[in-house]
Amino acid sequence: MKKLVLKNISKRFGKVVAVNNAELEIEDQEFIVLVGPSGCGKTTTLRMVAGLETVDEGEIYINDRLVNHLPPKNRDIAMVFQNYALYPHMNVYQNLAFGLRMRKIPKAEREPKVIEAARILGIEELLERKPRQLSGGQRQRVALGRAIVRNPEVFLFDEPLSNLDAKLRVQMRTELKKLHKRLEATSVYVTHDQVEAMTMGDRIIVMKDGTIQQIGSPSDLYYKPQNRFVAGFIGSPTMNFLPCRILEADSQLYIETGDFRLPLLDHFADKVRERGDSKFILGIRPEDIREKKSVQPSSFGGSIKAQINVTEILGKEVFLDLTTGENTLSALISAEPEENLGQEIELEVNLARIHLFSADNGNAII
Amino acid sequence: MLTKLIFEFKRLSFRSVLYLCGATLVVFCGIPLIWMLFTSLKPLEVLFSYPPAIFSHYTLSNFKRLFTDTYFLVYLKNSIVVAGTTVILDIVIATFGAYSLTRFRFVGKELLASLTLFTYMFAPIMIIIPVYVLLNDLGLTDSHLGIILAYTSISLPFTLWLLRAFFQSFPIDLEEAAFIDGANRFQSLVWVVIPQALPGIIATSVFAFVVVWNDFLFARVLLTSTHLKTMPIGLQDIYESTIVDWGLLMSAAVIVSIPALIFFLTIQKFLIKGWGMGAVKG
Ligand SMILES: Nc1ncnc2c1ncn2[C@@H]1O[C@H](COP(=O)(O)OP(=O)(O)OP(=O)(O)O)[C@@H](O)[C@H]1O
Ligand SMILES: [Mg+2]
Repeated sequence: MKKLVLKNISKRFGKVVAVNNAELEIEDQEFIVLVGPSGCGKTTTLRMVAGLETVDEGEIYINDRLVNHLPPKNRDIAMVFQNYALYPHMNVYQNLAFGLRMRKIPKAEREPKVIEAARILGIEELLERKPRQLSGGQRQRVALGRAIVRNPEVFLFDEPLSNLDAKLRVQMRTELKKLHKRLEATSVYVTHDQVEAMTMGDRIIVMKDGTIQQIGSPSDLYYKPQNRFVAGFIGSPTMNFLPCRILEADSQLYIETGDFRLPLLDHFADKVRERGDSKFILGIRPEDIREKKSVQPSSFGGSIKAQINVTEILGKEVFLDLTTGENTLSALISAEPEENLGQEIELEVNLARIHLFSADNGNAII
Repeated sequence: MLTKLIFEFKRLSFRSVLYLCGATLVVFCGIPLIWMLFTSLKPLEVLFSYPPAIFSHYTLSNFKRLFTDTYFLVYLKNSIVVAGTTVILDIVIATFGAYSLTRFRFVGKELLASLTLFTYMFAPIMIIIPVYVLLNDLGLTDSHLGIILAYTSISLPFTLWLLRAFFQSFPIDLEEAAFIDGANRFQSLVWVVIPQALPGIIATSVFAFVVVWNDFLFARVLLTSTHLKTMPIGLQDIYESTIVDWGLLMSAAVIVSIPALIFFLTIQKFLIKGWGMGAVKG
C-alpha cells in the first residue's frame, strides 16, 4: 500500500503556476525530501498535502483515501513549520498536549504521551516553560514534539532546520534521521539545501518552477541526473558546464570544447550517435577532475591545460578555480598542486563520470 | 575624555528638560483632578474659605449624602449595566466580524472594511435623530435595550476596525498549526487566536467602555425615566436640582472617574506585555 499519493497535482495563484502536474508516490516509512530553489513550489506542495491549501487539479490520497476535500484535522498528518509556530500563551506541556486535547483524548491518557514525547526529544525539563523562554534549538524540539506526540500517518516538515545555526543544524539533521528510524513514520521533508537533502532522504524529489525534475535516491541524482538543472543543483561545488561538439576521428568519438578534447568512452558512443546532432553541453563534476601526474590506473583520461586563479585548501581536498581559454572550471583535487597561482596545470577527467546534456532542452544524454 | 564629558552633560541636560516638560504636563492635567478629590472630601462650609484648609476638616459626608439623598446609586447601576452589556455585545460581534474580515476571501471585502470606518465619520449629533426615530418605531425609546443597541451600533465600526488591525498582524501560522493539531475554525479562534489577541481585545473594550460610559447626548435623548438614567445625565439632574452643591457634585465626579482609571491601569499592563513574543522565531 502506498502511504501518500499525489496524482497530477496542480496549483495556481493567479497567473503564477506554483505546482504543475506533480506526480508522486510515497511508500510507508519512507523519508522523502523535496528540494529545489526558492519559489519552486515546495511549500505549496506540502501545504496541499496538509490541507492548508486547496488543490486546483489532481488528487491526493493518504492511505488510499482521497483527501482533497478533507480539512487538515481529518487527514491525520502532522506538520513542523519553518518558524515553529508554537502557541506563545501555552507552556511546553500545553503545546504538546494541544493536539491530543483537540482530538478529545482523555486527560489521563494525554499525560503519558506528552511525557514520552518530551523524553524522546530530551525536553522533559522544559515542560513548564513558555516558548519565549526557550532557545531556538529548544523551540525546534518542542515543534517536533508537537508532531510526534500524536503518532500521525504522515509527517510534513517545511524547512524545519533553516532557523538554526550551522552547527546545530548538522546535529539536528542526524537526530531527525534517528528519530525517523525509531518512529518509522512516513515523512515528507522540504528544504532548499541540497546537502540536507542528500544526507537525509531515502529518496529525493527535485523541483523547479513548480515542476518535478527528477525523483530518485541520492546516488541516482548524483550519478545519473536526468537534466542539466538537477546536475547543477545537486553536488557541491557545482558541476562544470561547458558547451561542446562531438567530433569523430578514426571511428573514435571526441568531445571538443574548443579548449580541450576528451575521448568519449565506447559505451557512451551509441547514445550520442543516436542523437544525430552535434551540439551538447558537457558536464564534469569538480571531484571528477585530477592532476595529470597522478599515476593510479583508472578511467581518467584526456588532458586539460588550465591556469590557476584561486586555490582554497578545504582540509582533505583542495579546491581550484581555473581558466581554460574561454571557460572557467572548478576542480577538487586531493593535494595542493606544485604550480603557483597564474601558472598552468595539466589535469585529466574521469571519463566514466562525464555527463552530456542536450544543448536545446538540457535533458541528459549520458 | 573631555568630549565624553560634554556628551554626557548634553545627554543629562536633554534628559532633565524632558523630565521637566513631563512634570509640567502632569501637574497641569493633575491639579484639577486633585482639586476634585479635595473638594469632594470637604464640608460645604470650608470649601470657599481662604486660605484653603488643606490639612483639616476631612469628611465623607458628601459621599454619604450622595448615596442616601440622591438617585446616584441608581444612575451608577444603570451606567454599569448599559456600558457593560454594550461592551460585551460590541466585542463579541466585532471579534467575529474582524476575524472574518481578515481570514476569509469574499467579494467586496476591502470595500466593506472601509465602509465601516466611513460610517464613523458622521458626528453623533447627525445620527441621533434618525436613531431616535428608528428606536421609537421599534418601541425601544426609554429602555435599556434601546440605548444598548444604539451604543453598540455607534461603537461597532471603530471596534471592528481596531480589532481588524490586531487580527491582521496575528501570524496565520499559529492558526494553521492549530488546524493541523486537529482544531476546527471555532476552536482555533477560541484557543489560539483570542488568547493571542487579548491585549487588543481588552484595549478595544476599554475604548468602547469609555465612549459609552461618558456619553451624554444619546442618553439625554433616549432616556427619560429617572430609574433608567445613566450617570452623565443623572449628574446633570443632580446639578440642576441643587443650588450647586459642589461637594456633592465632586464626590460624584470622583466615583465616575474610578472605572476609567481602573480600566486604563489594566490596559497599560496588557499593552506593555508583549504576548506575541516567542510565537514564531525570536
Ligand atoms: N498565497 C500565495 N499567493 C500568491 N502566490 C503564492 C502564494 N503562495 C505561494 N505563491 C507563489 O507560488 C510559488 C511557489 O511558492 P512556494 O512557497 O511553494 O515556494 P517554495 O519552494 O516553498 O520556496 P521557498 O524555498 O522560498 O520557501 C512562488 O512563486 C510564490 O510566489
Ligand atoms: Mg517554502
